[in-house]
Amino acid sequence: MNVPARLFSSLFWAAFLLPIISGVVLTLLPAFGWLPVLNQQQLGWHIWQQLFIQPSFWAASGLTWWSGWLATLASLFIAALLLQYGFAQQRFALLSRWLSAMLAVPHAAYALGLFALLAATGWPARIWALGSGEQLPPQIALTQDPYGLSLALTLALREVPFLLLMALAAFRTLNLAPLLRQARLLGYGEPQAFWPVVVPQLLPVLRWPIMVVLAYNLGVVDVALITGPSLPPTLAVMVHQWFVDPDLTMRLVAAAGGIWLTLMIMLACALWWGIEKLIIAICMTRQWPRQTFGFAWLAKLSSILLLTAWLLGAAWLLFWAFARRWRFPDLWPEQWQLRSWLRTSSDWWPALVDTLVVGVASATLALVLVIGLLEGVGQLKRWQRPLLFVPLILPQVGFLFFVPGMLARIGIGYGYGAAITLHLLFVLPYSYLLLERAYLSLNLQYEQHALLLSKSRWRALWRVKWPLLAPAFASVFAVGFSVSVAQYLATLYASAGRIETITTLTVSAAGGGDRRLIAVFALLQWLLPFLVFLVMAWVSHWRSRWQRA
Amino acid sequence: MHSLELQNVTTRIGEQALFSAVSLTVAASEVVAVMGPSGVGKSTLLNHILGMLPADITGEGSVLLDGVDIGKLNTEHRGIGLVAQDDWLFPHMTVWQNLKFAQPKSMNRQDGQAQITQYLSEAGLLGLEKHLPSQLSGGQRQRVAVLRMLMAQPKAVLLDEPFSKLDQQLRRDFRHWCFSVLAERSLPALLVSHDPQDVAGLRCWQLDKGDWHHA
Repeated sequence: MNVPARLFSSLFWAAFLLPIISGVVLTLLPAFGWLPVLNQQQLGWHIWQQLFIQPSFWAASGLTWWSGWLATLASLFIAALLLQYGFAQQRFALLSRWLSAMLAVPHAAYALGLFALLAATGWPARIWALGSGEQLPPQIALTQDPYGLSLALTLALREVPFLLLMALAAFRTLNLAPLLRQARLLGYGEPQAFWPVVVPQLLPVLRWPIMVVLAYNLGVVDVALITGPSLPPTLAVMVHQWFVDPDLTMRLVAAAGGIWLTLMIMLACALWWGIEKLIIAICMTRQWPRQTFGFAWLAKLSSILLLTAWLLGAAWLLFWAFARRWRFPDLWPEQWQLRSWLRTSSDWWPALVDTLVVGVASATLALVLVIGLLEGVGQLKRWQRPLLFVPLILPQVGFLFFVPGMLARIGIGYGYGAAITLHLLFVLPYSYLLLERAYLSLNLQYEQHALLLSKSRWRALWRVKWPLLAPAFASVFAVGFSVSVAQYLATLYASAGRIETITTLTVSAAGGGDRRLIAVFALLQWLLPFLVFLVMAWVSHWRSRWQRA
Repeated sequence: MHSLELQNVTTRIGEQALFSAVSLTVAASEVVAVMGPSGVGKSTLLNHILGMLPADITGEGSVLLDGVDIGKLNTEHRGIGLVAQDDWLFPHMTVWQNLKFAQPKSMNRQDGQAQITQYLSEAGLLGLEKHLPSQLSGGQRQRVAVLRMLMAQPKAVLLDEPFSKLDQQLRRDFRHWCFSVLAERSLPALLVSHDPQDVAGLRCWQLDKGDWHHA
């Protein structure tokens, strides 16, 4: 390995692993009673005893387990349904076209859109009221229910596009489409061919993405704050509230709670591994019916539901952001205005700047580090790849809180530096996985032929290889930026009040009752990654004109 | 006048030699053919000459260009051109840009432009300079690939089944044009081919089951 290659490899792993390892250690120590800054230096199990007797702790743990699994299994069910009925064969063209755009929407903005839609004053309630002649909103609450159903629904719908995109990539890698066609030619119906031929190959490849979804659903904070129950909240929210409690000694309990949640997620991942084996065994042995007509309709319904929730959620936010007067049960506002935007510009403008600074910096840094790594060292080794998923599997409340303090000690103070460092943890894995795929699909012969024309390695990279990869660079940057925009806890803990992004602003506004204010912030959060995706799609389109000629 | 010489050249995977050691000399303006069934190591031999062997294969023996051992040089400094079965034109560059890319940096702008125009004219490709590779026919692409290789001013040329993807008529015309272009520039060339028609009239080496024979 030459010197620049070693440097990039070291930088990549330092930027990635040091904050994670130190974060876990710095959370483990207080969980066992060691936090010298608060004069706590008695190691033992007493913090755990305190944790287990916290009010609603067990209820919150149960709720988290239930809602996390429900959301994950529901999104898997919907994704499997769509794949079974030809999603990978372009049968749901509209949904496939909008999949990346749906994925770009930050979780909090999506949750707010869906939350408003399902609220007692949402469109379904208004349509019902117009039909029945009611003038008042119904007295039923479809959101923040004590069973976490609305939370699970939000997470399930939000994660389907991610699972579908991962499955599509696996379909291509495993070359499953011809196998499926072959099975159909042998006389198997769609479910008959899908379950025994596709699922046993697909599930092992999707193991890590599914575990990421499961871990996210169990450890999410921002979405749970918006659509989840509050009495008790989910465990991640409870731990977060302990971390920011004015009574600083609660941080030790919070650390133990974070570790407890980590253990729950580990158990869930292990359980999923077992479930995966079971599903594969069932797929291989069971006789599947030739056609299941009800499920075909359910697949169509699911695709409509996914698109509708996404589009109407955005439209609802758009209407409220510009509504002056919108009475129940009218379907759209009577009067429009810009006042909400002007009134709140002193809040959202600086937040917009901070979001752009942190997002552009972390996406660019991740891109440079990953390019350096892939050019210098090549693909990660088999044993290194699971490490990429560590920050996505660990719950953020389980390792993030104490990292900014450690960064401050080595000169990366609270604010931009810490925020970019923490955001990198979540941007790097996606950037690597996407760019690795692009590198693998590029034929090395182009670069070798540039070398054969007596050109230096640098010239071969600048003039041949990187221009060919430019569309992939643009996509990776856009994904990195949208991942950064969506970060809530990482920003909150890193900023210590010094910076505020659109996401932290949106989540804190969601706690208030001003619908116009929430709509303005959530719409901004929705639009920001969407606009970057549009710009990058244009760049990519322009750079890849040779492919279309 | 350039020459390419192989002295006791062989390649190995671990301890096992892929073929027995070969020594041969290719004089200026001469095309020497290497024939043999698929998988015997013909392309591996070319990769050894180019300094592009995969990590698990080691090369032995000397590769001399104009009497100088180039075995230790990086690929880009060896001064050997390659035309392969696939043209590997850079898809994001026009014909002109592909040719321009290959010219040495030291060449001034006007000379460079004049050279490209002259080469395109000789190859019957004038008017296609703004076309992308995807807008050309198979024969046109192979001609551009040969021109691009020549732009880099190689001292020797390797031809790795460059005619195999062309139809019979096009193949004959392109082969004739290619050999004459190399002869005009006094370049030694090593041709790997399956087709006896491609090697008709050439000095020919046969590689079979790891052993070399004069054909």
